[in-house]
Amino acid sequence: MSVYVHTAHVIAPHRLTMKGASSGLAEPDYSRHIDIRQMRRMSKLIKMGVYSSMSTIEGYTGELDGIIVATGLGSISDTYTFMKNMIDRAESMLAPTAFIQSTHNTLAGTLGILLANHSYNITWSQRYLSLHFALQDAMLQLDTTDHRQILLTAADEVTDEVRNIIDQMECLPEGIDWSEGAVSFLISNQRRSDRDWKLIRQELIPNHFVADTIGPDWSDVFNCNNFLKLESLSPEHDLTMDIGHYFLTDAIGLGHLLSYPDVEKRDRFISLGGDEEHTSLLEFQRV
Amino acid sequence: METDFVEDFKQKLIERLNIKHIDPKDIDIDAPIFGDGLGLDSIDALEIIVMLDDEYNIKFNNPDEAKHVFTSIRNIANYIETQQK
Amino acid sequence: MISREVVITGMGINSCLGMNVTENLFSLTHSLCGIGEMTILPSHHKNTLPVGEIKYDNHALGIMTRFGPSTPRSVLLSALSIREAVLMSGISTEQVEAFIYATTVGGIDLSEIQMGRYFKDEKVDYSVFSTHDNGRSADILTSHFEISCRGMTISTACSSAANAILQAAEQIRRGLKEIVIAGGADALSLFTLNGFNSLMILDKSLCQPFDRDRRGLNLGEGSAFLVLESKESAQKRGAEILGIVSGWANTNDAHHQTASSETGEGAAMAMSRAIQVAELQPEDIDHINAHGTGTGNNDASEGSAILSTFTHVPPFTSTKSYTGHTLAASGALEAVFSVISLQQQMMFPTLRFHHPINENLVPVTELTPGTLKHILSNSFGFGGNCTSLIFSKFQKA
Repeated sequence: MSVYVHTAHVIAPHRLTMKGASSGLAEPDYSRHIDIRQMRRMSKLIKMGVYSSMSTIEGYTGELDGIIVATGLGSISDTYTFMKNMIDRAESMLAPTAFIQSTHNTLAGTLGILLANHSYNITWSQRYLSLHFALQDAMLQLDTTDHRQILLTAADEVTDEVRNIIDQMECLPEGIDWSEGAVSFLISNQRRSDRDWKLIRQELIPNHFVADTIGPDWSDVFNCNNFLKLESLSPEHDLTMDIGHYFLTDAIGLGHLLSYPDVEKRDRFISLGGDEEHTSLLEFQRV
Repeated sequence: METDFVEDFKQKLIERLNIKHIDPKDIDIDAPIFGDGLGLDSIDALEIIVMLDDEYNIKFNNPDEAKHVFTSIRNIANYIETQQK
Repeated sequence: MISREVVITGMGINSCLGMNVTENLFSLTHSLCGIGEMTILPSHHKNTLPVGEIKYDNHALGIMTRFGPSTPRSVLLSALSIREAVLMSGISTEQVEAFIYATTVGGIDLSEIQMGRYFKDEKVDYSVFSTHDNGRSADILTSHFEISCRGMTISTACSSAANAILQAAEQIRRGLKEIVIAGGADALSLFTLNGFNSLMILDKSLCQPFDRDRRGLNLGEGSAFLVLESKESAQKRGAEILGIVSGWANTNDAHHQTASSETGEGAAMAMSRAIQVAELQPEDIDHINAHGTGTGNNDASEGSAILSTFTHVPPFTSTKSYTGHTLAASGALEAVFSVISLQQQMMFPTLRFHHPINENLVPVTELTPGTLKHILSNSFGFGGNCTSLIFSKFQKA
């Protein structure tokens, strides 16, 4: 069984695409892909997730056999809003919108409705390994003799209020902010064009084995694991500073790499994600 | 004819429900707000119930109770005015 | 392609019906509803909203599980039911190849206390927020039980644990894993209680699933886990097989964020597909453990879906009339109830049922023995998620 990524679309901080630019999120004009009528309840996470999904499948007219979402914190802005409301009003007479939008599967549900899609629909939320398990599930869904397509979208957001709380938690290194962004991939079990990337390896490795696993040649390796310090890795191949630190650093990094000019010329690349204990290693090859 | 009160209520409603897809002056205050009209749904009905409590001190226990009132913007505004007398 | 049979060799559960399988079975058999007065959750709705609350506070649960004070309640409940499941199965936790967790609450029960202090400018313990997110709970549990693989968490509202079991079944059927623990937990929290209350779908009295005069759901809490294995693995180590996971399906209603379609399209698709996966026909289903929350929308929608899927509606029941709606955990709790039904060859009643919505939709209303081979269990949720699972009796050779 082979797994191919056809397209990817990323919404990420400015720094990732334009060196020296500010760290703020480079947001698109959402109305290009989202009807204004539908936008009124959408948090930034939902807008980013929907926009990148629609961009990824733009022009694609076939079936989608699954919608898989990865998110670390869900629509944390709505969680915060409902929580604040609940506390300020001592639990009385609360408006429901923020609550229903705060559930982690809101993005996947919204995509199901917008695409009128009744197929497999799931949301994975496992911190820095959210993409890893979402991708593992996508591969499971594609492990069949039928031709299948999966839309995999990863999205996480942050607000000033939430950043303030994360700062007080003192869990990030000095000068690092909690980041945000979204990415979508159209993945299938059949090759579509020679622009496809084939996923040939997906492994979860304890961090202290990473160097040995990769061996002497680091020229095609890119790092998106916030916790890894790799001596053999060249600094331009470490994307963590430009993406920023959050649960989906590796997802954004992967999306970026799939269409990054420097990577497009290559036959293969390795992307590293994960957390302080384990690294998610993905190896892609040009078809 | 739109009284100041109806106009004021309409503005509050637009803000509460974050309606941006239609110009306020194009909103027909006599058109049905659910279904095809303004396109509101069951969640909006709950939001309006909360709004009526917050802004006008009018209480409904559930959406069914409010069904006969929540027809058009003018109807809701008229109901509020009569309740406040 | 490999196609292994997926069997259940261990299960653990806690709910307002009891702290283990035996206690839950006792309550079910004796029509002992666990929904009642809120005594632990410090809500302003204490005296108005009945809940299916587990009558141990976090301090007591901490002692039972040997966890420290800043441990989310859902994790504490999980620890107990995982322990029960593992002991029942006879495996050691080193043998576990995947740990699939389900929750919507995560650590929000602790976060909301700190947020209360935060908004009132009182002293906040910010370290508590490190347990807020859903995935953290799985990490705490794999570490606690010395499970060497990393946990993975699904969060699809009320279908979460059913999806966790589905995922485990897929991995085992394809020969990717031999031994998997799957299940979930959701403790009561102010956030979810008030969230559901804002939707005006909570019943101020005891819920009446599938009744014409139903008024809404009661929230409950609990956790349940299954040890799932390939049949080969179970037989090789001489484990007792409690049941088979024979069919499963995940579909999406794609209708509205919180309301199910009138016809229950997504639900009907899930049930039909699960039956197909089990290589059965609708008439082979002996019993349905329905999602049956007691809300106007779910029961009507699910009822329509059942009518369109089955020419002859099999006996069906809602055990949420006993436990309340345990949200993410419900699919796992009801998996355990389905296996218990198969073991006992008994169907449990839908409590407090009086008048049907439709004359063809009358649930089981008394403890009823039956020849039960295949039980269908439904879990439907916000976001249009529809998951159906089929549990089958294991016939010893």
